[in-house]
Amino acid sequence: VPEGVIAAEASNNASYSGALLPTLTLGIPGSAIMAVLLGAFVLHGLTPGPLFIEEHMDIVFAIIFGLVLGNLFSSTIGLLCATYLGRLTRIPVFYIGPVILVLCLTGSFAIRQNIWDVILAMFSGLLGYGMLKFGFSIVCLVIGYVLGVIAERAFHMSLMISRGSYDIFFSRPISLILFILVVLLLLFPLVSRFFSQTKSRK
Amino acid sequence: MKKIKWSHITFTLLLSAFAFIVVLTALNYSREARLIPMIIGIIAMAFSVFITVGEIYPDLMKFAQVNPVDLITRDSEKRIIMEKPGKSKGNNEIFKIFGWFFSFLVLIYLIGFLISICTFILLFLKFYGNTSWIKAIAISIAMFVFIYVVFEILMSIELFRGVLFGAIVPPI
Repeated sequence: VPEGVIAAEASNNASYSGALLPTLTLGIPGSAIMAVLLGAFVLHGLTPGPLFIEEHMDIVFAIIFGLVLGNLFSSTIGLLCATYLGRLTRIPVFYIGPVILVLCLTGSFAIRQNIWDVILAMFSGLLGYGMLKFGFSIVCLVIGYVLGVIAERAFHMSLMISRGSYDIFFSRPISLILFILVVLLLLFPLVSRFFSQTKSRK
Repeated sequence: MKKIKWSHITFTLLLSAFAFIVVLTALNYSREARLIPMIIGIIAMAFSVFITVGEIYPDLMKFAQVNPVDLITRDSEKRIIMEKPGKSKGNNEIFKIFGWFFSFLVLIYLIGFLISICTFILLFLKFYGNTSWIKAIAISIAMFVFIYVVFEILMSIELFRGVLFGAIVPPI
């Protein structure tokens, strides 16, 4: 039933606009896909956050209009060409695989024109495949990779403000609350699972 | 009794070895600079040990079987994130594909991008995909032309020519 598919996909597409808000205004990815977008911004030297809208209004509007136009185009193209696009999924993998590999490796070389980037891209692919196969979360890695730079910079800035004292992370109410929340968030799934198992055993 | 997945353990230990290298490298940094890599590296190694122990003795680590994806993603995205490759291929098939890919990498290193692209696609389609010679030649030439036009002409990027043709490999 097309209505069922359209409804689900429309709500799925609509969620990206909501996820874009914390990504652009706070620099915190609203979803896994936004973490990838955040990574692209960081690669281009742009740091999303409270000052991003003020300093790069042109980019913000380009993204908003891009999102609107993208949805309009994808809906139109999707409705008109669904039958033909569906045929793409029937192309055998051995045709698509080498073409994608060639584009990925050539693209990785093109950024800095350094052959080591190509080798790195190949090993990253191997790592990604291993992670997918053995149940490690690639999204967590991407989020960590993107936010890690920002977090490390903020950490060192805090240490510079406090002249090397780690008390700054615990002495201020907001930082203390955030620290406690992080610890609770990390421990909550483990503790809740432990208690639910003990309960079920009883 | 649950069968121990040695491939899983090997991969986890490889990740752990990588974390160990990060920690070792960080030891050469200044006191402040090494803090974050060391914390992350040590935590990663500890988790690797947990996973390995959990794989060998599943009952011991049962309480810790929490999927980190559950903590950070919505249900709609879990479908995309946790999606496994459609049909599980055998290990031999996987090694064969990776063998092809690494051969391509070696070819790029030796004879450069343009000739490698043509050679790799032609041989891969012919011998792995059992495509006809005509189709394989047509696709490889089309790909060669596409890459040449887009990268060399439109983007003015000189693609790597290969060490056999005098290209210099920069230091890491």
